[in-house]
Amino acid sequence: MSKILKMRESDMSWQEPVLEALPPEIQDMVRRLPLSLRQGLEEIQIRENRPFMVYGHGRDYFVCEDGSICAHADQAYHISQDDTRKILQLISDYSIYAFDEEIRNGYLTLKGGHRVGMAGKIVLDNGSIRTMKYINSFNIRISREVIGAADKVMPFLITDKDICHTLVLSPPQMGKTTLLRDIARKISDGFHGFTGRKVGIVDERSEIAGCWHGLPQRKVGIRTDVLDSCPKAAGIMMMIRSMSPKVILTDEIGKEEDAAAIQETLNAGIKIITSAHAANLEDACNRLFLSRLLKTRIFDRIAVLGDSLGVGTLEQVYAGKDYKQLLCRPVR
Amino acid sequence: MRERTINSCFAGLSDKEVLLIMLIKIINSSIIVAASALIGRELAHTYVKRTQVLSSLQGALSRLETEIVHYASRLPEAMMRIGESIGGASGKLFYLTGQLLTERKSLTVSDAWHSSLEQNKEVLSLQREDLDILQRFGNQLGSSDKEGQIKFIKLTLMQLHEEELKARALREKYEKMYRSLGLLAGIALAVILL
Repeated sequence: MSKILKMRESDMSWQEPVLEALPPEIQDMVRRLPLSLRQGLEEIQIRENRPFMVYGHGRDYFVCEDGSICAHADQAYHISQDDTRKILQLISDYSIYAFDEEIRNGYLTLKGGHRVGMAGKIVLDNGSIRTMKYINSFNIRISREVIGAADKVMPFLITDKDICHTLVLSPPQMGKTTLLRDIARKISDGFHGFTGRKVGIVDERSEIAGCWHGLPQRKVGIRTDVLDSCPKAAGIMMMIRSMSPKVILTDEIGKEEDAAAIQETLNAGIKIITSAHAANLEDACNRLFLSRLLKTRIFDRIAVLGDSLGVGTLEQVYAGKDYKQLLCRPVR
Repeated sequence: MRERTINSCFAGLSDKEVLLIMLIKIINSSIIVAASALIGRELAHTYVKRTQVLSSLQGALSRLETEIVHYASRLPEAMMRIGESIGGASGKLFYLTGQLLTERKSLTVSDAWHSSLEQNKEVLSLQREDLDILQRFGNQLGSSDKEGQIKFIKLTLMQLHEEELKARALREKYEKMYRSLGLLAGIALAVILL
């Protein structure tokens, strides 16, 4: 795992696509940041008329005009209106009109799967969000994929050379999506003793595959098809009809229609692997939607993620039929 | 009588030399007539070209509207594609804008549009008011949501259409006039100089 961690931190492939979305002056500042910070950089925070900040190694830093770190906010470079206007044009590839839906949702995905969150003034239309204007805050979240995140959990997901219906439970920011992505890659590519299967990913928030122009930017496997930015329930049905996958992967279920779509995959004989927000199994049983879904005993395996040994720890794996614990202690 | 005057002009010259001088005069005058006619044609052509450019700009904008509404294409590639397919002066305007954006040489769409407009001003042969319309269009291009873009494209299309109508009226009036004026002025000049 330490090897993985090392590889993950020194991965600088984020630089090119992320910097392309920034005006030259800010690009230079980021380029001149200390190497160690750049290697562990997680977020670039841009707020109009306020200091330019970056976040990494668990804290944030003010950035000066020459790219050095400064202690006080007033020494830092202040973002101008011109900067935010340019950034908006650059992140949308000069085509804001092509991102109406993304702007409504408040984020868009850059090449490389990095996510840019936006904030500004919301324009309402009959009580629902129509668009956002005066966009003045951007949070660029650098995503790094962790190849091998699913190594520990894979043995539990396969019985008699077949894949189990699986639910991954995890609190936010615990590597749920990372795990799902690596599971998709493993099932799709195959591994020792397991031939790859066709996988369909319904990626409602472009997080699993990090698609850019519809093309997955993450290693999701050679037999994987991705429906990008597609609502889960509709996407699952489309996948079943059009791509005949053996396994369907989707993120964060939580609506009634999702449950119906999952039922449909079972009828079609397709395996489903999905995730939901919950700290543990009891927590999940207390949630209205999840408890109902769990009662149907659809899932063969329930994996719980946590951070007892660091982010991405596999805390427990339950057998879905009788909630038997399959793991004697947390692993990472 | 006439023969005699001509003869007096060329007194002392051999028949060969007279023939040579006549030939030079004919060549000179035909050059004058041709040049003058060309100038007239050129002047007439600016009127023709303006209407052509205005109408091809409208075609390009309609294409852009389709690209935005139906394909949600990215602006740089859409501009380059349109520029390539319509060709001519307005094609150059679109293509260069797309190129500047693709190569990240301009940081905003309006910058790119304006510098492309500046560089293609000569070949476009447009009037001040046409350029003003295009400049206003550039300020809005790529900077609002789909609905906003469509509205601006429609507005610009309408304005360009009006300009085209005006340009056509001017063309009717002046195209023939400049053409014949050029030719006639050339002939007149040749006669005087002879």
